[in-house]
Amino acid sequence: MGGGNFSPGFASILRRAIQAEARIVEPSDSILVQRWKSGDRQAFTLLFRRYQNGVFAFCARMLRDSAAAEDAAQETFLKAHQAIASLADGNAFRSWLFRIARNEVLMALRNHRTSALESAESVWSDDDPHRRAISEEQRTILQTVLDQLKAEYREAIVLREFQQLTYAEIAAATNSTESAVKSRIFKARTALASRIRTQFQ
Amino acid sequence: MTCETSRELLSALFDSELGHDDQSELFAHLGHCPACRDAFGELLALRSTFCSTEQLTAPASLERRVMTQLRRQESASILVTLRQWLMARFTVPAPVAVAAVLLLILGTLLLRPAARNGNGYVYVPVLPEVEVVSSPVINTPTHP
Repeated sequence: MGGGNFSPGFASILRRAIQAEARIVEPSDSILVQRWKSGDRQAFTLLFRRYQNGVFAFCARMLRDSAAAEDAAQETFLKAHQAIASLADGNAFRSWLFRIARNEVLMALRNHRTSALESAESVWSDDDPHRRAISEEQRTILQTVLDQLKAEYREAIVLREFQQLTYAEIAAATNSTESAVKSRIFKARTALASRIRTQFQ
Repeated sequence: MTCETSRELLSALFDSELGHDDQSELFAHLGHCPACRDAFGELLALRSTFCSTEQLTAPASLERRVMTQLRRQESASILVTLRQWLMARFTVPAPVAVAAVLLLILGTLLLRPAARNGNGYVYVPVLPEVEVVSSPVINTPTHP
């Protein structure tokens, strides 16, 4: 059946629908990275707009400081722009970007306070768990207990729950292994569920 | 399967990261372990809480800051490229530069201020002083 069987009106509607669909489908990270590498500033802008909220939110949840998070997010994109030529696989852009963001977060933590990434048996950071006021609302409690998690657990659960990164992507972003990521996410969830349960009792 | 293993697998199941074989084992365990079924309920509640948590959005100033900084870096980069281009075009090879410097030093030593000649530096060798003795006047005979 050829396209010539359609009436002119229907063909016009179909053409407009196809064009609208083409506008809706955004280019993949990989395609944008290729364009960016060849000097297309618009490709960078599109990727920036795609990931600015995710990178900022990750930094903010890790640093607990909006201004510091904005600085870290800015540095993340500037460093990504400088180093984009070194990214061999455009499909790995997301984990690569969050890896840069994580490095910025670690640097900010080192500069402003003692890093919470030091290994220890406990899941909880050394902060006084009662330091922060606990709201009645569950999501506020969630944020509060998230803040109390050690950074290595917090980064894993934040990247999974808020940014929907896969275990492989989180492992690449955090310079870790998938099994370690799986274990951290499990421990973080167990600790969060337990703490939330305690708060409600 | 222990309850500890079961709960780690449950967590992976929530993330769609559990293989088919592990899923079968997990469901078999859940079938006869009420404590792990409770844990499943807790994870569901936790996921629901995460979903209801407000999404943080970047301030509008972030894009402005990043784009401004990039423009500055690009301007600086253009200047560096220009300088490199100029240097590539007009760079003097090192041996030639060394020879030029040596010639300059040598020239400065030779063209001493004592040899100045009003109109600029002219090389005038300084000869040893010689006593000038006046020669006797020779009178040539004149013809009558």
